[in-house]
Amino acid sequence: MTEKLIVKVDRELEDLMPLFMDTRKRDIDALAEGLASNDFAALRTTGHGMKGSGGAFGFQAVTDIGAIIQDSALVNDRATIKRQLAVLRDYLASVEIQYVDI
Amino acid sequence: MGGVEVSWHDSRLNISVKGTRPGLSVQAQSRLFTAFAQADDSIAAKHGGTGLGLTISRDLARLMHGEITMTSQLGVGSQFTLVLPAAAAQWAQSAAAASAPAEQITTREPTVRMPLSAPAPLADPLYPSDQHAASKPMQTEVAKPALRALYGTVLVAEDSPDLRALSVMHLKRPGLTVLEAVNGRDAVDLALSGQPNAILMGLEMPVMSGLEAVKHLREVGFSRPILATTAHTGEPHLTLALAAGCNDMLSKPIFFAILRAALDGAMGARLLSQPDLTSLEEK
Repeated sequence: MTEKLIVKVDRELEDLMPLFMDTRKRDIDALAEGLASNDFAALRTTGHGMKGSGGAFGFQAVTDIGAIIQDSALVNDRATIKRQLAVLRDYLASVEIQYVDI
Repeated sequence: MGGVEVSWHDSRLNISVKGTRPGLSVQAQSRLFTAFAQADDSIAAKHGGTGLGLTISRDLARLMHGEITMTSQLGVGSQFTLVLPAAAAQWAQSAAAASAPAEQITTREPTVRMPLSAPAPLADPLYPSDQHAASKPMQTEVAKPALRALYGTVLVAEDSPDLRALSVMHLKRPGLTVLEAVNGRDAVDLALSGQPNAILMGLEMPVMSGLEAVKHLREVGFSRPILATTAHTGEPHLTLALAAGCNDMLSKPIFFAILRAALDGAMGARLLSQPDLTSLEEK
C-alpha cells in the first residue's frame, strides 16, 4: 500500500463525496466485469463516465485515467485497460480527502 | 547543459527533454514507469507528486502509436524522448533544411497536425495544459461568482448519479427549480410537461441518447435553449450537437462558473434574473 495521497476538495462538495466514491467503486466493478467478458463497449462507456466526472469533484486523476480507458477501449487495448484499472484501485485506496474553501 | 530539442525524422516527431544531475541509477530506472513509484522515496517529501505522471504519459504516447524512452547516467543527467508519428502541416524552415539531419531547434515553432484518431498530448497528465479545457482543474483558477438570485426552471438530463447531483446542487443554490431526468426518454417527457426555461442534456444516456432527445424535442416545437453536456471534446462533437438542435456544448468535467456563464449566455442574464411569468413557479 502506498502513502496517502492528499486530494483537496471544495468543502461545498462534502455531502456529495459518498456518492462520488460509491460511483467510482461501481466503476471498478464495471471495469473488472468488462475485462472478464471482453465487453469493450461497456469499458468505453465506463471510462467515458469517469472522464466526465473526476475533475469536477477535484479528482483530476480519475478524469485522466478515464480518458485513457475510453481511448484504449476504442482500440480493444485490453492490457492498458487492465493496467489502468490497477492504477485506479490503488489510487482510490490511497486518497485522503482534505476539504478546503476554494 | 539541459534543454529541449525538437526534431523531425522519417515522419516522426521527436521531443527530447534533457536535464543535468542527478541522473538515475539502474535500479531507479527500472521503477520509473511503474505506477506510484518515484526514483526514490524522498522525492515525494521534497517535491510532492503521486508517481503517476510517467505511467500515464507513456500510456498516452502509446495510444498515439508513439513511445516515451529514457536514458540516464547517475551523476550526469537524464534524457526523456517522446516520439510520435505525425503529418507535418507546415514547417517554417525550407524543404532543403527539412531533409537535413536533426538539429537543435531553439526558436522555431513547427506546426504539426496530429492524426485525428490520437488524443492531443498533455504536458503533465495530472495537471493538463490550457489546451484541454475539459480536463483543466478549474477549482483553483476561477473565482466563484457572487451569487444572485435566479428565477426559472432548468431540466438536468444526466444518467451519472454523482454528476447529476452536482449539477442539481449548483443550480439550486441560486434559487433555480431543477427537474431531473436519467435518460433521453425521461428528458423528452419532462421537457414537454414541465416546460423548463433551459435544458442541460447529457449526450450519452441509456434508453434514448441525448442527441435523439434533442432532435425529437426540436421536431415537436420545443424552442427553449438546450445545452449539450459531454465528456467528448472538439469540433466534430460540437458540430453534431449543434446539428441536432443544441444551442451550445459544455465539455465535462463542468465547473460551476462555466455552467453559469453558459446558462447566462443561452438564456440572457436578464431573463434568469427576473421572475419568469411563464414558468411554473415564481420567486
